[in-house]
Amino acid sequence: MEVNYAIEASLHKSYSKFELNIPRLMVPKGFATALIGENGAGKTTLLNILAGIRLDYQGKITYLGRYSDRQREELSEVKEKIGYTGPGGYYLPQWKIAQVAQISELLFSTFRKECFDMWCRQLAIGGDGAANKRISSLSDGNREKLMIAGVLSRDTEILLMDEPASPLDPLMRERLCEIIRDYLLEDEGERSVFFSTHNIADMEDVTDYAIIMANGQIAEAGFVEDLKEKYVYVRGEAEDIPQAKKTLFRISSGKYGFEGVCLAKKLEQLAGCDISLETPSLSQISVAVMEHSRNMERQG
Amino acid sequence: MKITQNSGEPIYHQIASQFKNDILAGKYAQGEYLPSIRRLAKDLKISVITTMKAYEELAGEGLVTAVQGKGFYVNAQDSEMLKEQHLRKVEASLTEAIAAAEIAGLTDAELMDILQTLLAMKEEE
Amino acid sequence: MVRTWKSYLAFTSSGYRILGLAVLPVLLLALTVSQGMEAAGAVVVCFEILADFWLFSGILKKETGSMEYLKTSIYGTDIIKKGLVADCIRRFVYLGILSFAGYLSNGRLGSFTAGLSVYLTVMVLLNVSRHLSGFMIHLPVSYVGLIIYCILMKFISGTAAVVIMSLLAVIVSIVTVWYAMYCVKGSYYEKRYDESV
Repeated sequence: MEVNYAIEASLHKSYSKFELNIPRLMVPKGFATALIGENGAGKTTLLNILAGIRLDYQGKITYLGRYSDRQREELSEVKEKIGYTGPGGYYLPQWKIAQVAQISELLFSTFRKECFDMWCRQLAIGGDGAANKRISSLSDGNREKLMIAGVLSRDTEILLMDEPASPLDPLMRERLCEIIRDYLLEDEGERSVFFSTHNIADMEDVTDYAIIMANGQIAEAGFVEDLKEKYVYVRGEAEDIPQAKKTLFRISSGKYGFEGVCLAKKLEQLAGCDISLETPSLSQISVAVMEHSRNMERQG
Repeated sequence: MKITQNSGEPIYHQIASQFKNDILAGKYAQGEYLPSIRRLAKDLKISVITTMKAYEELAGEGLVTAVQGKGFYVNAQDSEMLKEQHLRKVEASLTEAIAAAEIAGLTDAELMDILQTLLAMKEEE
Repeated sequence: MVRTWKSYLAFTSSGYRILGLAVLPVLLLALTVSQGMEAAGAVVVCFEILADFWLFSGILKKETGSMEYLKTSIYGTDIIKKGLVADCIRRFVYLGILSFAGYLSNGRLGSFTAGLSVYLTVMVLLNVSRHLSGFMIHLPVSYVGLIIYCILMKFISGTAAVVIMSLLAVIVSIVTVWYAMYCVKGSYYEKRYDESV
């Protein structure tokens, strides 16, 4: 399968207590990619760097196969193509929603106010008299919806979203998945979405490619269908627990037996055990990989 | 199109099977394009990579051809291949039935009885 | 030029435009005409510092977790710059108008000293209040402004003072905008590790 990349990067950034070390990051074009990791894994830092909000890093980034991060700071067209939403202040708290539209027109040449108003209505942001509501009076959910409305009202090719599902209620999360699918459909194959989450279960149905991060590094990455063949969910009997512990990435065991995730190619180590196999969910794979990573880190 | 999430059968395979049945049943004209992978993903509320894999499976079996930038169109299905495909299905289903009969402790004669009853019922429809 | 004013207006809400750019300025003008610029200046100092809350409060914050929306566009810092420049010009012109009105009504040169004192006091103190967000910060800062203004009015007078203060006004304006740009650009670089990684 021929894959082009929306973003390719090689990044490094160190703080006193933390280090972001990503020798090769690849976000495929035309798909929805999930950046999965616990809080503190480095997701926000990575997205900030990719969105151009943070400039203190070493390394380089290539956008859409043709723009470098240097060009991103020099040419207006690069940041025009990127829509970012995130958990920080984002807006000045004293702004009213009407001002957000005015400022957007100055910031982005493809911003359309009619589109923005339509999205505000569709997503039910603020209700009646919304235009006069201040950012500081909005709930986290409404602010998230406002950011989403803002990026959808422009012509973009990449959406970078930092924990978009977190402040949203379950109904709105599904709506977000729908929005992502519509976004990808609109320009078949030319648009990409890269979002982060610490709870992939909510966004699993829309995720095509997963990047699992732990301790500032990428622990695993791949198309979801490929990952579901690389890993397998195993259930077995209590007597085989010692053998299972050596093979499985993550295992929960009790007196009735064990279950956990392991690499498919290691299954032969469990030959002779009475086990049942299942295709793991992305959630199960992520948890297993992250925990394995944490254990490796501890052993150092 | 119906897909079940937790049946143990991968979703992409379920999709591929259902399209395969429709194609072999002649519901698609030769050269007709299947819905785009993203359109299908939206309609089924699943991820794009899943529909893509489903279509790739169909392509692997020679049922569709991929065209860069345009999608997947249905190949000509000659009746011989159609027949062959369905023949294999009959064999597989019957093998399953025989295995189940064995577990249930049925004799060959009892199994034949069941088959004839079912055929008779189908005649009445 | 248009973009400069558009940038400034983008920082104002419709309510602010009515009150802060029309109604109150006119009222203060009336106050100046009736009481003289020296007295009215004290009120204007407080007004200007408090009004800035709705415009540029929080703009000089150094942390990376604010104003990301502006930073996602290549024009973000430019809009802030234009808005601040327009703000300086508006303030200078408005105080000029008030000073003239005061001078016309009571003929004292002190009107201009007053106007310039207001400008300098406000500009310097805004560089402090814009570091933090929250209306509560602007209140004590405006009191400080009041005190500084009174001290200036007590000790400064004369034509020479007017000339020097005019020059200072220009310098302070340039420094203010430059400093703001320095802070905004600096917020792209975070030296300390913050928890929301």
